[in-house]
Amino acid sequence: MERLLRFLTSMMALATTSCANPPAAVPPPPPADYSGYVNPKYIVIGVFYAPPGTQSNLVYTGDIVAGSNSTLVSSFTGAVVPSVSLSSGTGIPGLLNGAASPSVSKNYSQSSASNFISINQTASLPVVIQGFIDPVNGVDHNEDLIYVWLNPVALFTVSTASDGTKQIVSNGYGFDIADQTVANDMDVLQIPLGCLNGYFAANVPSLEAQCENLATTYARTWAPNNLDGTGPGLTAADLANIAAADPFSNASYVPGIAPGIYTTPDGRFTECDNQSGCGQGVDFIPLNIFECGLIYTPPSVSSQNYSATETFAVQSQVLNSAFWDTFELSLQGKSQMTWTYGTNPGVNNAQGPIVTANILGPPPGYSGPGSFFILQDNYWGTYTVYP
Amino acid sequence: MIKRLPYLFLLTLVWLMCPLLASAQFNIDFGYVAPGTGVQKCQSLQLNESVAYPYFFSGSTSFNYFSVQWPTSLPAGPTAETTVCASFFAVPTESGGQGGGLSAAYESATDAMTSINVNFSAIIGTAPTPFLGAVNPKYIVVGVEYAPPGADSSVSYTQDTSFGNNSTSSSSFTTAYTATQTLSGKAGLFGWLSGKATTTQSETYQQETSSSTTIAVTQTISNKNSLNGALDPVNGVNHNYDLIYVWLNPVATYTLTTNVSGAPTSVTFSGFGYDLTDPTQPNDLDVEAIPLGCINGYFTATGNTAWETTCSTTIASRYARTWALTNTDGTGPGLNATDLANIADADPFNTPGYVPTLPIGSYTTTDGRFMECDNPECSLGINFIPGSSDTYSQGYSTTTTITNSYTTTTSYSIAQTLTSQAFWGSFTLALENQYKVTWTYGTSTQVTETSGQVAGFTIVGPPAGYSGPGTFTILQDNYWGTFAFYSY
Repeated sequence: MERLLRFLTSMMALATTSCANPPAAVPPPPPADYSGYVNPKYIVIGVFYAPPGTQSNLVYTGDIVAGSNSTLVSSFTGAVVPSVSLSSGTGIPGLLNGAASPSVSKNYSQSSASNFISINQTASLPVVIQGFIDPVNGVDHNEDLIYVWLNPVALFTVSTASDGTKQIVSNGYGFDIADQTVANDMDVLQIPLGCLNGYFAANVPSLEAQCENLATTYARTWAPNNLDGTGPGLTAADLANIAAADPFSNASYVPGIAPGIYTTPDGRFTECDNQSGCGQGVDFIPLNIFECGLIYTPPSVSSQNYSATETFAVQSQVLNSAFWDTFELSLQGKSQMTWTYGTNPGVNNAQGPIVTANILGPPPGYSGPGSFFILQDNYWGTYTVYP
Repeated sequence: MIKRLPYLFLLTLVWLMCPLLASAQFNIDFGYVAPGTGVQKCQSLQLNESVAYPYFFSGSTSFNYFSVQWPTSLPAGPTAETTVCASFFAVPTESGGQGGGLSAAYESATDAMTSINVNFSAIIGTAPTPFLGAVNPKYIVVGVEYAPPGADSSVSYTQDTSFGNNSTSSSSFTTAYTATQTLSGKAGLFGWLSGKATTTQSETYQQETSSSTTIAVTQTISNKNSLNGALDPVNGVNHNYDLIYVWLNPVATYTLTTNVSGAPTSVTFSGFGYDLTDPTQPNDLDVEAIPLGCINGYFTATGNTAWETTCSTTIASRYARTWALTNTDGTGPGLNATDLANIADADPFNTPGYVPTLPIGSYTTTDGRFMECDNPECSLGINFIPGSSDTYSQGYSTTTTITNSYTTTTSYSIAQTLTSQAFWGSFTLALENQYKVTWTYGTSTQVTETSGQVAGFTIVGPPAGYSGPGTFTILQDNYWGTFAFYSY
């Protein structure tokens, strides 16, 4: 009997508890946002291809589309929710120890779409890419110029939701004013592929001095050591990564164009086929001159098949911040970030032909290819004359 | 099955009764008539009778499945037309070819007699679907760009200039076929792959009907194409540096109709396409510029080893057409010596001693090939003396003299997917030479009559000591739409 009463009493107590109104919900505190930045060693922002012939050139005029389009998504663990929100608009600000300065790049701007950030050149002065003759291949890709940004600052806002999910918002880029190689602007070094792959050192000793001179710039002596303790200069691994931005650094690379399809299977190049004249083949023979205008046209299919993983520096005031505590835990590699480059949406493509190809034939005696066609690099918004 | 009645018996009877003055022949072909259906056709002729025949005398009105409505009288005069209408009914129990004839006699007011005869033909059955097929000629010439005088001079064909050709392959076929063309107005050029047309279209060339048998292929240049000159100390102009533009991946499309035994009844040229298997210029026409001196042996003969190297490597490797199929006559796909000699003749200055003769008062040369510019901008002669440097622009003049004096005959290949099909069997039956196609080139109004087009010339004088001609005349090439420099 006593056991029965104890059972009934406990059941009533349980029923009373179950039917009682739940306590009023207390909203969790909003996740705290922490802003901060890191200092990557470099970002590739373009590859400009040398046309065939010493008297030839490609002229990229003002407001050209050339630039990069990359995402940092793969830098973070799968548990992190990455997104992009440019905090300073389309300008690329100068930063000193993370603090904003009045300087804004006069030559580049940034924009975002999905998780990608485009950095595109807005220079009003034309960029002229001079041609070189290769007696065997016509085009000498060792003379291609890879544009490497040496003082980027990557801006982020991090937060941790109540469920523990970490959110990373990429706020775009600034440039580190501590680098005064280019006063108060982005320090973009143009490195010939031949300096990166050792071709000049092995075959053109007269150009080796040029490569050594460039090396003093990408030594980045003004920058702090990286998080992993390595020095600030670009290493051999960095240079190899940078060289890979130019697909022709792989000697066996062939941008195959299938009949009836204008974009290469890897999505990297699109054959020019618009009526501005670039669809015509280029006869590369003595005395002949070819000129045409080029308009960047984004391909219908996007791709992302070039990436660069590198270490980065973190300034002391950042290391000791709440930002870093969250950011560090979000990284896939504790002292590395990965830039994945993809198809450039072409922010400036509505302005008509803004790149001019001037292809002057070789001297008599040339025995290389006599026919070329123009390919648009969908990643950098530049043009190569193939083969 | 051909069936005929002894209708001549009736006519013989008429001849015995009255003197016949003349007879006219009508031929009515009903073509294919589906079984169980009937069809009527009429034919009108100018009989040019000297007198009228107002009286129908005699004549049967039907024969087998044919019937005829005789006119009640025959008019007089050279322009008066007489119309005969006939009908044919395709009985379902019959098939194949049907034929026969009927006659009728007419009497004049003076009792003179004449007759008219009607021959019928028809095929009971469903008309076969015309075959659309394509062959791949080794090349088509699409233009000649003439070198200007002087090593520092240049000629430029700028935006919206068009040059190209105007050609027909009619003479490839036996006289039974006129090989008319069916293109209407301007049309695009489409890529062909494995014997079939694709939706890939050229962005640089188009084709346009020029006459009932000819089609013009023109390039609407939206780029700027320039050619530097080379100094000839004797002649000023050295035509060995002229560039001949040769299209290396043409596809010629034809529509064939055949009779029940597969023999071709008509050949229609349906325009050009281009072979997408050529990787040289992906997705477009592959047009190579070949210097005349590379073809005619000039560089070799003059010991110009540098040019000879370029000719034998850069230039020759391209017209080897290694991507193409072997031709139907078993020869390889590359251009051979005969082809190159034919191509060289696209440039009339390849012929030693060629003079573009301009009769006094005429602006067109006697051979119709060139036209002297006669508008104010270009009628002046071009000075070519040391220290001179001038820029000229040149518009096109309307061509009034139509000639066609340049032909090429070449082997051709055919896509393997087409070799086993009826098109191929019938096509070869229609050809004069089953392994060759011939292209006849002529005056192109399409490249010379578009207003607003200009070419530009920068003529820089020769170095001191030059002893050649000091004045040149600009001549418009009516075949290719380009300009040559000639000193008279």
